[in-house]
Amino acid sequence: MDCESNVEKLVECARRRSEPAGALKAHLRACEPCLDRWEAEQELSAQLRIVRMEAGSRRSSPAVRQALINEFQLRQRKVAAPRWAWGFAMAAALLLAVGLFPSRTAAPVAPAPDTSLQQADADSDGFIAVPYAPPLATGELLRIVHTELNPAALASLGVSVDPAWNVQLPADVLEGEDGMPRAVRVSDVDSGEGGF
Amino acid sequence: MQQTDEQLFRLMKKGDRQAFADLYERREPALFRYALHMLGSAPAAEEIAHEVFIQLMAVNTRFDENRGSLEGWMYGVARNLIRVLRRKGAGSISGDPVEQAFDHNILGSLIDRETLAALHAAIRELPDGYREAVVLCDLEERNYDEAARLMACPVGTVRSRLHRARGLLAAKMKRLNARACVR
Repeated sequence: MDCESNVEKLVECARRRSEPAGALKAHLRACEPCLDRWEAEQELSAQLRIVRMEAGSRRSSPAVRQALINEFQLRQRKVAAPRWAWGFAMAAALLLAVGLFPSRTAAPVAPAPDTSLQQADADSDGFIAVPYAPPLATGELLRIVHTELNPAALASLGVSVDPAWNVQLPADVLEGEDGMPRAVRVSDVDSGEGGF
Repeated sequence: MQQTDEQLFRLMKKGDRQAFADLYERREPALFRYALHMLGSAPAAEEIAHEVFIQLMAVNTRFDENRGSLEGWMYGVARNLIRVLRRKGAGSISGDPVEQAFDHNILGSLIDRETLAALHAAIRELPDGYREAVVLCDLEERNYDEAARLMACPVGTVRSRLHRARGLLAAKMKRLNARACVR
């Protein structure tokens, strides 16, 4: 039995806290270097056990744990947000398609004084897009404000009416979340509803 | 029945906060201690363990369960981070030495502070592969198969590294004891 293979067995015995047996035990009695190594291995195992016991209960602080869990939740919200935003954007696009796009195509932005009212009348909702209005953000909500506007105000919004009309005209203004008008519709002068 | 790491990981990826917390509770302490023994600094160990979980929760996590266990992946990440930190230089590893961070109240009488500090220093001076074998097999009590999986090397390599590492440690501690006896 050579010393090198014995050392491997001695290391395993020391790690398992077991006594060498049989031929190994006999070898230890006869070989001083192996006996020295055996004693050194036993001592080392005892010291490493103490290091292990001391470190056994150590871990990161609870604050680090909480910070990580908060970070996890934050990231989940960020991951989930685009799905929600896409849904909202789709709804907004649908709203725009229904509310704005037909008016852009059916009604001229700056119709001639004599024909604009007739053209608007032909349109189902009569909204006219306000020229140079800032574009809507993705998912931006729109609202309709019922108000009265004079011909000059209507002209500034791109609706050309007979300037001889010196009256306040009932109008519906489609506003973005920033309060800026995106489209305008002049309600029926008499009934206050529909085109004119 | 307890869920596997991989099951918890899949739930975590679906946004399950509890699965993430369970995975953290299960794996963080050992990862922390592994880094603590490898680096010898508690703040650095905390940083390593934290970073492993940050990488785990990343959208583009490169863990693939067909290529190995989640635990093995986590130790791989920790090992790479430790290498980076050590490459930056020992001076950049801040905090108290590991032996000062331990509580000596109960165990103080079993081993003197000087011997313990010398052992910690000797472990830190071992080559990376040897130190990792000592940390996993002797300090974390992993069997050879588990250590081989975590170290991504054959069982025989783990065994031989451990035996050589212990030889170096035993020789160093023996010299220290001899000096102490002379004094």
